Amino acid sequence: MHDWRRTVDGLREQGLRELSAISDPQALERWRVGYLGRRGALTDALRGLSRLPAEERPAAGQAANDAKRALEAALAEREGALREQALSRDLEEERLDVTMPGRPPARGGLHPTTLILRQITAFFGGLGYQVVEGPEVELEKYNFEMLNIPRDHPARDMFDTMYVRPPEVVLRTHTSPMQARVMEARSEEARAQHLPAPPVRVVVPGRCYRYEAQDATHEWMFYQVEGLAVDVGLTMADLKGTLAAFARHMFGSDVKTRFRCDYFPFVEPGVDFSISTPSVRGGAWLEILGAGMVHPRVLRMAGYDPDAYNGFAFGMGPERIAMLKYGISDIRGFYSNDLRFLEQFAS
Amino acid sequence: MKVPLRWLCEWVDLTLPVDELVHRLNLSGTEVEDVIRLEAEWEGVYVAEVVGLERHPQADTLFVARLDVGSHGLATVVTGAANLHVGARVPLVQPGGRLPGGRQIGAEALRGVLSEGMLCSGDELGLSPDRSGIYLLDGGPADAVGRPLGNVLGDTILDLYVTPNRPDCLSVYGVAREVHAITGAPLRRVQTSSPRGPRAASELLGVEIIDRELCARFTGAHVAGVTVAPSPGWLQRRLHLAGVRPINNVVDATNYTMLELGQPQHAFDADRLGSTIVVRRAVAGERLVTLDGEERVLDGDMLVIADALNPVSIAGVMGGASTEVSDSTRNVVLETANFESVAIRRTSTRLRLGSEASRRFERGIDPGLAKVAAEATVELLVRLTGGSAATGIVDVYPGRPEPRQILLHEDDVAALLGRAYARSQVAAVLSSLDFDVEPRGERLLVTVPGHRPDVEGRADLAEEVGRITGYDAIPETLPTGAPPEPKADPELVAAERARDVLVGCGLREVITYSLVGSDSEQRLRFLDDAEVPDPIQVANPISGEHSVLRTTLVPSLVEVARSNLRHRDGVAIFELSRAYLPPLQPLPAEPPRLGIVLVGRITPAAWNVPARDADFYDLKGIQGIIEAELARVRRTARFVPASVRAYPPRRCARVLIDSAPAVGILGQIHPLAAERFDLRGRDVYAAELWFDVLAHRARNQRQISPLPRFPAAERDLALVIDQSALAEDVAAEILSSGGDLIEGVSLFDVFEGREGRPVPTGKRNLAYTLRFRAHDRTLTDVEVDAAVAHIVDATAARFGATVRGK
Repeated sequence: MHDWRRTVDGLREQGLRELSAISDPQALERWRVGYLGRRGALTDALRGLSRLPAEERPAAGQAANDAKRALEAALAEREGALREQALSRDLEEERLDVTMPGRPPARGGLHPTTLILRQITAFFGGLGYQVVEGPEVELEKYNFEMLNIPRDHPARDMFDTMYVRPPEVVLRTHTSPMQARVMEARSEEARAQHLPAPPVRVVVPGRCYRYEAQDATHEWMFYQVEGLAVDVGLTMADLKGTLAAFARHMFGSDVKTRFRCDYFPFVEPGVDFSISTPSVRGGAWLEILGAGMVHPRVLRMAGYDPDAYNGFAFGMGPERIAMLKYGISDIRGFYSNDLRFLEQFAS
Repeated sequence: MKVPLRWLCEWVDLTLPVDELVHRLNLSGTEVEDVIRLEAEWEGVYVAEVVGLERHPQADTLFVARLDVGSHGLATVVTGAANLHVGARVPLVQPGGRLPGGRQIGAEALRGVLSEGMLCSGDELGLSPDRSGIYLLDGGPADAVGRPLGNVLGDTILDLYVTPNRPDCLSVYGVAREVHAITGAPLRRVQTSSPRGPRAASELLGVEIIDRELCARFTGAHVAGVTVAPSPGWLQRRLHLAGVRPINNVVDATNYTMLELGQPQHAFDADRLGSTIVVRRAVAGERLVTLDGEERVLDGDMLVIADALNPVSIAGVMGGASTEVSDSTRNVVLETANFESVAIRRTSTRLRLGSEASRRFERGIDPGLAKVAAEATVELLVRLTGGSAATGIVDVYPGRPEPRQILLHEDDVAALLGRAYARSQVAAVLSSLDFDVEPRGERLLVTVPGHRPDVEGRADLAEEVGRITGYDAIPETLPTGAPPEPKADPELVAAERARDVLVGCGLREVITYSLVGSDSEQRLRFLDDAEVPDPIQVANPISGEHSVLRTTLVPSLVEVARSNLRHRDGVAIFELSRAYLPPLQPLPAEPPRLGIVLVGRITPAAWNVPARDADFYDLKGIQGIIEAELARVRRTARFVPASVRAYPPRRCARVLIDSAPAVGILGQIHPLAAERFDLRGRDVYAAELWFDVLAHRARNQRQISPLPRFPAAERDLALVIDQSALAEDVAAEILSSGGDLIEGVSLFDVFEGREGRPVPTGKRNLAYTLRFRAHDRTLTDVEVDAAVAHIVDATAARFGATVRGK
């Protein structure tokens, strides 16, 4: 028994010693076969177990198994260490110059007008405004008459108009005709079902046209976003609060806002809405949109009773907002599509 | 409207600093576009008195003036002006001083005499248009000599933008009333008296209004024995500073009243006018030479002032040359009338003839103003011309308006503005603007004054209260009502999704003009001729380059590519905008279109990437991604080779979905068409997709399918097949003949047959990977082989395909 025991202990010691000197995978495999293989030294020794007296076998078996486990564990550890060494060597040989340029996917991007339109519609969408669009080639009736701008009224001078078929078909000069169209459609639909006219909250983005010479601040084609809310009990304070929240959304929380009396024939009272914030043109007051309470006559013409409903409306130019936000000095950059200009905008 | 502050201050006792006044005017709706401070441009300019004047010893055309400059001592100045006299007070720029425009004045010797500064004309100082001589100060304080000129004649001019609803603010008095209301400064009232003279005006003058609806009131006054001459300096200066050219004392008097009170007037030479004035519509074709020397042909909608026979003036727009006041005029008839605004506007638009008068009439003038204005001008005429007025004024007033009255409760104002106002506050604001306010039970009965035709109802009165008390006082709230049910327009949602997908594909969005040149679409006939409608024309285009509404986006995008290729190797762009399709009924269809243009180096060369130019399959790949993203189903679009003029044969396809008509077209632009865009030698790929049809098919995220539980089996199949067989047809045949087991087919290799190759000329090799799967079991080789064999048979039968290597 003692001899057998010495043999096992000796094998264990010898195996561990040899293993620590091994540094290549072939030698490691030879070592495994020599000790742990089917004809390996330790396997042999284990086979000798049966020759021992029965009462010694459990203790001897325990010792033999311990030795086997120790060698197996040492083998696994050695294997791991060798793999790690080999991998490091390989990686060192195949090192990357991490400072070389990457392989770039093509980079696209949205037009700045789209970027601003999305910011605007996202804000009003969150307040329950529906985004709708309307015709760009528009009837004079909606572009002017239904907005309280009769023919031969000096207010027409405010809208230099391009005509498609004079006088009744025009290129819309603003998105405001959709005020009349939306209200008219909603009130007619309700009337057909014998229901009261429903509340309205819409924003209308779209192209507009003016017969106007181009310069750094004027384009004959531009976008507008019209907003319209009609309901029982709406007030100018609601308009002011809505626009102030909008200004914070677009220009940050430290923006100051104000109303100034202004005239648009389809609102009464009419105001322009200005912002002031240190990061834009040194905090100067800058007009960003026109607004007001929907003119009673406009409500009535579109089927809403002005004694029961109030409305507010606003209209803004996304290009102007983009110019203020991004420091663009010339509006002509928007639709001349020099990609060097457009590529400066990150979607 | 230019308002000199000194003039304004004659009507309102203003104590506010100018900046504060400007701020308050701006907030209350009278926009101050510019503030011009005259004296800011006068540097070193003093009032001097001529104490000696002699001819220059060396030059006949020059004078040497000795000047007393008060505390600044004496000065000698050489001048070429001939209008000086001893005792005249003149503006002197001392050496080192400056004039408007930054012109600096020095001391210099002129023909041997040292000139210590310069005497200035009215034009040089901005005080009058006169350049003919030195500006002579008339009157002024006795101690003016030696004082800075700004001290004596300096003024600040407010340049106002007056909105079309406010005729009243096109006058100094109207602006003074606004200033009174917003600052509380006391307002002086206009006071005039009826003229008195040797004869009655009614003896000298008869007035008959025939078209009463176009002329609510006509007054005539008569001044006899006038001497027509230039106006005195103060009057010329005022007119000039207000932007009106001085003419002579008679015309200037009428303009002065117009600027001061807002009532246009016209003076006739009484001796060239008959004794009866008739206000009537013109007879179509009647002619009149207006004051500007142009002969005008009138029509039956135009109102004229006529004598017994002929028109002598276009009412409210411009007087006629035949009765113009001239230097020889001795007697004057003064017209102060009220004409209907729409008719005046129509006339002035039709004749393309605008004037200070028409600009005011078309906004609507208070008919009540005519008599006061007539009296004011007669007083002025008597003072300026030495003439004598006839007694009274002939006043024909058929259109006296009923005053507009509005019952107003302070709660009406609160309901619109969103904050409470005291009744007394409402009444005070309205009274300050000359509205008549009386209590009527629980409400106020508000009478709207004639000068505010814009005020029609309670909303207008609320605006007056809001703007005068200040909108800053209105709180910020949000609407409390429940928002209406949100209904997103699926087409707009699809558009935003498509934009994101295209940006993800590396394309840059552009936005181009909807109006293009009439030849633009000719240059690139993108569609079959039959499908290209003649574009809709704009009647008054901004330019020839932008004169028709486009029916396709592609020419605009090719143009963007062209301009950008000047400074880059490749362009990959898209636009999602509308096309405008005739007929007008009365409006055109405006369907959304998606245009894509790829040209040149879309993958630039780098150390690890080979450079690559765009080709047809880039375009098709992008189209496929949009289609897959929008429809979120397995692609069902089919591509049919098309023959379209803008493309070379066999290099373009029509996109079809289901059995609907084409939803788009994509391909290479014909090299000859590209040349017309200065893109010779460039392969330009363009697509235009009918986005409305695509969006109509778009759906939201469909229900997710469970993942397959059994593995797929793949087989590669290389078919040698006639060149004429289309890959899409072959793939479709494989799918339909593969039975229930085939899941997908993808083309992984193509090569064309050629002499000496294993594939003969006229054939090509299409290599596919076929994927088979059953949902309920792992397929056996036998099953898969059988399916492949079936496919081989089917393609052989339909296309004569053979399996390569067999």
